[in-house]
Amino acid sequence: MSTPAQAADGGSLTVTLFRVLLAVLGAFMVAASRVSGRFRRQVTRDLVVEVSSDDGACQAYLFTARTRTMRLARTAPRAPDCAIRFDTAAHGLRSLLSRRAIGRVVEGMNGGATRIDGAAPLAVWFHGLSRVVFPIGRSRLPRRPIPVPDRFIERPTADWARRIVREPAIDVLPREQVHAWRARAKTLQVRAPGGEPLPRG
Amino acid sequence: MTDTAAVTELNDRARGWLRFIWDKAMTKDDWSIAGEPADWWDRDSTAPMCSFPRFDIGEMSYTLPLMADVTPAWREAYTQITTALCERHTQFWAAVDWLTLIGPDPNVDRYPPEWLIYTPERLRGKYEPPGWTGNGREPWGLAPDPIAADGNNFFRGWFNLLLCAHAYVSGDTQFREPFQITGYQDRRFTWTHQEIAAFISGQLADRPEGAHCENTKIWPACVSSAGLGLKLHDAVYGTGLHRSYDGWVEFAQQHYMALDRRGELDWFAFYYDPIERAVCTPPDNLSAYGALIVLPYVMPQRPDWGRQLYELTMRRLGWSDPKALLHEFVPDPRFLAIALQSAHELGDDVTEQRLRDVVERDYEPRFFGEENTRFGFFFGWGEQWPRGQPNALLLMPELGGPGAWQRVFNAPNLTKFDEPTVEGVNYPSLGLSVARNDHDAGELHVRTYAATPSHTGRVTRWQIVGLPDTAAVRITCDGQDFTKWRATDDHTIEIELEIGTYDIRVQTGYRPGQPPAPRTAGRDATPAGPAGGGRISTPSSGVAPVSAATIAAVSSCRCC
Repeated sequence: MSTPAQAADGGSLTVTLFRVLLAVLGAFMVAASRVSGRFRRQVTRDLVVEVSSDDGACQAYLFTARTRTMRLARTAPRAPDCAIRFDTAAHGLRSLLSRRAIGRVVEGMNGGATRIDGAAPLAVWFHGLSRVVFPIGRSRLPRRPIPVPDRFIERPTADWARRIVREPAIDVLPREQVHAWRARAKTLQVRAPGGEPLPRG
Repeated sequence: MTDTAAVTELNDRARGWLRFIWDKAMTKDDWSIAGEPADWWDRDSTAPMCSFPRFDIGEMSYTLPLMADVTPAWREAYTQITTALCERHTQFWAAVDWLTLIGPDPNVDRYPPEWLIYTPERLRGKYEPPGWTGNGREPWGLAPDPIAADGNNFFRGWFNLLLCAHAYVSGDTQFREPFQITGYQDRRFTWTHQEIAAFISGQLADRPEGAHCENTKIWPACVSSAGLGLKLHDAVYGTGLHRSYDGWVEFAQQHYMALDRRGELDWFAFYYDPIERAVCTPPDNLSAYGALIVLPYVMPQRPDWGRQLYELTMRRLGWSDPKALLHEFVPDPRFLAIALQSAHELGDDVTEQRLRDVVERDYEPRFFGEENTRFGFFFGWGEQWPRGQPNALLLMPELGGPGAWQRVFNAPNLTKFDEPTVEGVNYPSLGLSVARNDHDAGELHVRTYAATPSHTGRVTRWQIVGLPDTAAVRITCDGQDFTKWRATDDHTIEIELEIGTYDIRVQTGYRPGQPPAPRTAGRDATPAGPAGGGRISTPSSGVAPVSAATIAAVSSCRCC
């Protein structure tokens, strides 16, 4: 059994290690935000994500949509859009180094050891970005190829397929369809990438 | 919350929900290309994949067969609502995505991060998110008909389910006759319900991996909803269209999900893109959300698989663990609403109570509207109207006991079409919370309430049709003999009563197996209009419901 002093030493060590992990991860992500198209394409909003532990580690990741880049800060300059908070740095280390980091976070939340303040989906997005530089864990692909043949148009001989009206492919809704364009502009699918805030839920 | 196996009365929430969906369905608005749906149609929920108004229609339709099973002897309000929903579903705004989101998406690298998680990790930022239908893309070309397309499975699948819900509550055959669907450039395409169902079934038989919705995403949830529509079509019309779904289930169990070494859910596909050859599923435990969203559709079709997926999902999320904190990792009430509906359906009381606690605490259930007679969940979002999509799912447990949803599809009540039935009720002035035939007693039990409280005390008239013999009728009201009724023909009586709460027992002498009596009733001479507007269309209650035998005869058409 460890003494309080030993525990404190161990605690400070894990806090340091967790800080280093968060900083190194951040440094690689900063670099990726300058050179990786895959990374940069996903930086579409100004966001602050913070990862911290209650025993003292903290790292903020600041995303800028205009430049599609990321930078680091010790703490978030404003209320983070998403904050992942572990009870201890040791728990944070175990979670983020796990092959199933999100699973660890979920289980930590269920047990009360982990909290997410703000928009939890951003944690999943952030995890995906982190995997651009540290692809720890599996990507969710089937173990064997799904035996779906290359997609082809439906058998034209089938009774039901005869109903399909196929016209030449087009790339864009023709401009002269004024009413359709007006309706399209009202869909969230078009408004959201234009920067409109998302509705709740 | 319902706590009995068989729910025989619409509770306060159900009545409030009915009142609200009556408003939505019966208030005229313009879903044509020149118009826009009224604000209360839910175009925001579960973005990006469901943020279109037809999803409000689709989800709303689930509650109506359940209500019809609670009050099988009074269904005309449900009929009018489903008719109005079906009519909207034929118009431009129901297919606004397919008809306007044409070709490749120009904004693939501009979507908010919250939406990027619904695309495969390696494709984020260069791939259309769910909801971008991409009609017109190669290799499919432009499909101007939103039904007859290689893709757009979700449009026709849910439409078929809606049409079946209409048939189930009404028994009328309006949509068995040709009607028109609005397509690209406002062109019109002629379809019948049976042709749509046959199209879905034939396509699914040819593509056991499932038809795609957006170009090109195959969603287990959408394939399963399409299958559920076929199931109800078979149940109502005696067809054999649902068989093709079984082939898909085998495929999905092999290729769209996996268990880990411990037998727990490893992953379940939100969707599969056969062109990119990519599965979209959230990471780790959150993959359970992919399985969660199929539950209402799978459960009635493949109960064993549905229960397995439910248990795997609840364990993966920790929602069935009484010791775990219950978190909604995705802040969208749809997921927890589906979990609640599934727990209720399966009689998992412990999990249901845990989920119910969250719903009652955080989802802001309340009555609202004129005379405080409408009910919905507002989720603390400060919005004017309760969101239709998650609300419909949340209301399902209020409308039946465990197994009620599965019974609609596996033990459908079709005898109701031949039984004594209440018609001509002046809804929404007067409503019926109970309306069912007690076969053992040969009695029709009706309980009335003032759906519009300020109308209490007004005299109204309504009919009971399909009686074996009006000469044998005896009526009590609140336990007293009741005489304010008259026979209008040998099989129909008209009752005169004030609007209010009354318990009415009508000795009909009806026993199951009797030949159906002719029906001739019409509506009250002075129906109240919907609040805020007129009717969208001629109410179909003027069409006499057909018998089960007639429905069966329709099934002999060559399409089915």
